[in-house]
Amino acid sequence: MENTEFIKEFIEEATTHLEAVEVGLLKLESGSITTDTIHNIFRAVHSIKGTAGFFSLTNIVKLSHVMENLLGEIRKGSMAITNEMVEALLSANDCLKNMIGDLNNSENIDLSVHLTKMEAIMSRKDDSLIIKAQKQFQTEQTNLSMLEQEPELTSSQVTAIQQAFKRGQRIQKIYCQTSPNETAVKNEPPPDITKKITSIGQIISYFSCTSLTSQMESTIPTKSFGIFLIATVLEKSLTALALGIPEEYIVEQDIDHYRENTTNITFGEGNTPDVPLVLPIMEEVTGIHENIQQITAEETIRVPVPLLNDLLNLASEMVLGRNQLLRLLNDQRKTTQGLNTVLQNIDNITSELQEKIMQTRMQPLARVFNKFPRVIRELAKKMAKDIELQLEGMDVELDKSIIEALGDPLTHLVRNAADHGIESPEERERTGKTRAGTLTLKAYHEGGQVTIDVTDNGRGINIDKIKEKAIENRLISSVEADLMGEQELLALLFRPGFSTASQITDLSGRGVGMDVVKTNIEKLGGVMEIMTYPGQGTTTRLTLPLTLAIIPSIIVEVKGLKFALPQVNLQEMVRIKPGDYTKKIETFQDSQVFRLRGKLLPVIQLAKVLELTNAPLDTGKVIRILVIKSGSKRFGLVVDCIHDGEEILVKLLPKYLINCKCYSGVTILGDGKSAMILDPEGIAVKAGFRFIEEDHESTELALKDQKVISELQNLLLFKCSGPETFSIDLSMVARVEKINSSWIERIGDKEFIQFRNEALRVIRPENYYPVTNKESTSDKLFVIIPKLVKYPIGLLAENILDTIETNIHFNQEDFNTKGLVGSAILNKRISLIINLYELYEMVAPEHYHKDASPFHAIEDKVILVAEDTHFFAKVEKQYLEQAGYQVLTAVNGRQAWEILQETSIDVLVSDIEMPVMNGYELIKRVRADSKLSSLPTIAVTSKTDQRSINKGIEAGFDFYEIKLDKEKLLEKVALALQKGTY
Amino acid sequence: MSNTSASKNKLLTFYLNGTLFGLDIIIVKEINRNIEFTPIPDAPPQIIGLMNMRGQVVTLFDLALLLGYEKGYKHTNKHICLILKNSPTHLDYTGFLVDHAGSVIDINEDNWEAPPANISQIDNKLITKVVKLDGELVMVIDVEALFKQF
Repeated sequence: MENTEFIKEFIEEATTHLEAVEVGLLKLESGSITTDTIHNIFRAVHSIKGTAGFFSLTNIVKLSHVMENLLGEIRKGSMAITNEMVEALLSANDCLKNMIGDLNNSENIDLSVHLTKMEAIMSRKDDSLIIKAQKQFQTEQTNLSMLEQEPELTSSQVTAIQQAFKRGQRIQKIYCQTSPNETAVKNEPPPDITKKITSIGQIISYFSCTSLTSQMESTIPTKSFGIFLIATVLEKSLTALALGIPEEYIVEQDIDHYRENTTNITFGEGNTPDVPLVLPIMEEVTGIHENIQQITAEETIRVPVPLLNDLLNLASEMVLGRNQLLRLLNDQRKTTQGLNTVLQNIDNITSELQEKIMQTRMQPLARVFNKFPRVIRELAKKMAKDIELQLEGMDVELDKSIIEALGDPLTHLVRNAADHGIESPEERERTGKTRAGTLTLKAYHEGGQVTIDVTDNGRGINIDKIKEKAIENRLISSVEADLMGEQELLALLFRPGFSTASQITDLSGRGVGMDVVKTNIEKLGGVMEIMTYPGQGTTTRLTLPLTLAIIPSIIVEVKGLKFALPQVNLQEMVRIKPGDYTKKIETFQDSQVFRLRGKLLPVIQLAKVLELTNAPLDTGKVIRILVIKSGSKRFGLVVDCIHDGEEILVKLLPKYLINCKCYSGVTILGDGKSAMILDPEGIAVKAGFRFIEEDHESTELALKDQKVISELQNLLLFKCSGPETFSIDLSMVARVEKINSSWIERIGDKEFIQFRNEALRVIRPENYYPVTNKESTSDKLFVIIPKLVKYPIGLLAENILDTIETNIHFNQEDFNTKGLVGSAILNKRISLIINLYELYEMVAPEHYHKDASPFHAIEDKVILVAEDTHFFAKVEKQYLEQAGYQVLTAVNGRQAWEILQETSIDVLVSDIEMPVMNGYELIKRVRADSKLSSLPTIAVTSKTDQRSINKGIEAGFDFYEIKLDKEKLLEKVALALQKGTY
Repeated sequence: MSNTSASKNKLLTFYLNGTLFGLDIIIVKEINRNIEFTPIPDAPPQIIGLMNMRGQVVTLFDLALLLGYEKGYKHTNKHICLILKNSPTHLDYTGFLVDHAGSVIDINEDNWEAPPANISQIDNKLITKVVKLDGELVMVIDVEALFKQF
């Protein structure tokens, strides 16, 4: 074993062969028996045996020999393939794998188990099967006769020979091996060899037979032979070279013999080769001509991986060099003639070069996926489950390093899915599913990344169980647990030492795993997410970068230091000018949030995360926010300066910096300086954002965040004649009309305007509230026209101030006035929030008191209002209480759910959009609960389109109502109660 | 180029915080002048920053801090940087900044002693011996101990 170079090659080769054997065996088992498959397996085992013999690895030879024998029987057709056989071969193959993995110890491994198992199978060889199997394989049965029983040459062939002689050509007889299926059509020469021969000469005759076998060991399977008689100008040795076969297989025919005896030549009278045609050599022959085929087809070449790595490194350096060059020469581009073209050329070529070199490292996911049929087969057997594996996207390519690192995490996920996800066949049948569970591995490209979904159609993850377990393991407190959303609870699975399997099995559930999987995936620059549907299955989604080496990124700067941020994580950039009210950063205690198109985005200064500053965000300056997405997390990162995008080469973080969680690597920028690559996940952790909150103070934070994530409200701010600011919920405003004060007409003490050819009554809100009431002096007035009311009355305003979107924090109840919801500070001014319905009741009591009566409350009925927006909760509560109901409120679905568990409720009124648990989730639970399934429920929402309504009804709500429509709400409550009493 | 056996007893000297230190020359890869480096916020205090050495990233340590000086490296405009060779156990390149480089000296059997007991200002774990030169002492840094500090 001196020559380590060769040994290395052997190991490499053998590993590929072993893989082929395994894939082939599984194919056999699944029933797709083709001669090709058996052939491939046989050949793979055989080449392992051959090379191992060369290195005198006797144990490997011994085992592979027996495997070969058994496979030989199968190939010959003397034995039918049984599960037992595949089983034995698979385990022997595993043993081979182990031995090849550890060559030094391979001699010490005990093979007896495998040997006896396989020999026992072989001894049961059933001769009756031979005929049957032979038919199946379509091997020739008839021509097991003698080798040289060849047909006589026809006269035309003889003429051909004579003519060849005249031209000075040689007549050669070529023995070549053909595979049985090729000879299935008898005397039809194999096309590939024929093609080669015709390129060097002329075929005079071809004959095939399957003999020779009889002369050899019984274990060697039937082999087919072809014998060509050809005419060529080449010498024997050259013919051999040209055809890629050993010289011994070519027999030069005696020219004189033919010349004199041309009328009576039989094909067979040539000398048979002196060298015995033992099949192992013949195998090699096949090998050679197959290699030639492959080379002509694909032109592949073996290159050591370190060389590719070096190439990649160099290419990356070249990219950096190009970047520097471009930057340096940018100013000269215009002044120096021709420079621009050259630079562009270099730019393009470098990019292409780098791309091509990266491609050399790309490998198809099949390399990882291929092992799963085996894994699933074993698992299914062990657990007595029926599992069907579906593999999709085998040809999706990823960088070699990623492919290699994916094996373990994926195996873990697949095991998990098979063990925890998919139920036993009996359980599946009980729940109305097919007996066989399906496990799908699906890979696909998406947005410059590769996504791999591991999906099972099993029982799904029991969220409550996670919660229970997490509390039990003291990972979270029960208070926290209640506040956590589904995704947050699922994220607990990634905590070290977490496992939900109530019974620890051999396969998974030992409490290690998911955290390791996640860490490994994150190391690759990937992201992992879990989606689960109770009773329907679970999907684990891995999002991976195509390659680790070079990534597009954006260069940002804080405090004079440059950092690279991977562009994958960047969603958008926002620039806020001081005093820009439409884009505002708001501060809650110490944390900032930014309102991005209605959604609140937690914001953190990069300088603060990196401890470069302690100063709070200076809103007096221009603020630049990078909106960052990492997995399902989103946050804003404030930086001082945003530079260009740059393709950067990712270098590993020096091990001395491994504890700096904010960085994922180092790179060298175009200016030659090194820069850190920011890691959004790490930054989120360091910033202490809620979604990955670790410490136990989080309850407080959670409560705070609950406010942050609660639904926002749109308010219209306006002024009447006095200095007070009024506001009204925008969802109740149909439109605002600008009018001239002279348009107002008086009828009695009431004022009207003409609006769309109808008289619309208008009021001055200041007349109904205890506020300053001045005589209006302005010519220009605004009329706020409400919607969702039966008797619209316009509100007259002198000035429309603003519309804002906010969470209302009500002041203490100092304005406990009828017609007001309360007061709050909006845009730094105290604002009175109008309760439109109450105001209308005050203005036109005749409409309201009458109308309210039909639905007058049935005493003692308890209504639960689930509503996250304080404002709406308050208003709804008010309506219902005024109507005489008892009202309980909950700030989200989860709280509502708990109240439902404890208290007897007559009607549930629920918002749809809520934090922690939304209305759909809540109704799902309610409907699934045996006690609550018939509870009357009303969805109230500000979404008024038909689709939302349908969705709400589909989800299980009995009624769907628009928020703040008092009458309708009361009507629906009454209806719901009627329904409940049936 | 000096051969290995001869360089075994050679020290590269340099000044740091006014003191002359020596380092076995065999582990020094190169000395770079006027280098630019990038500080790393949020990194351990003994790490000054990273520099680019022809495409390789070198982690620069604050040797003064490692040696036990309270103040650490005084930042100047002209950085002189000693870069150490990497090894299978320390694949990442490392280096540190010095005030200015000295020269290469020989150690003989008779010109060194164990560090005196009273060098308290600096961490004498890192100092294996003191070489007595004419009018000057060289504190010799133990390379193994130094790597452990990284």
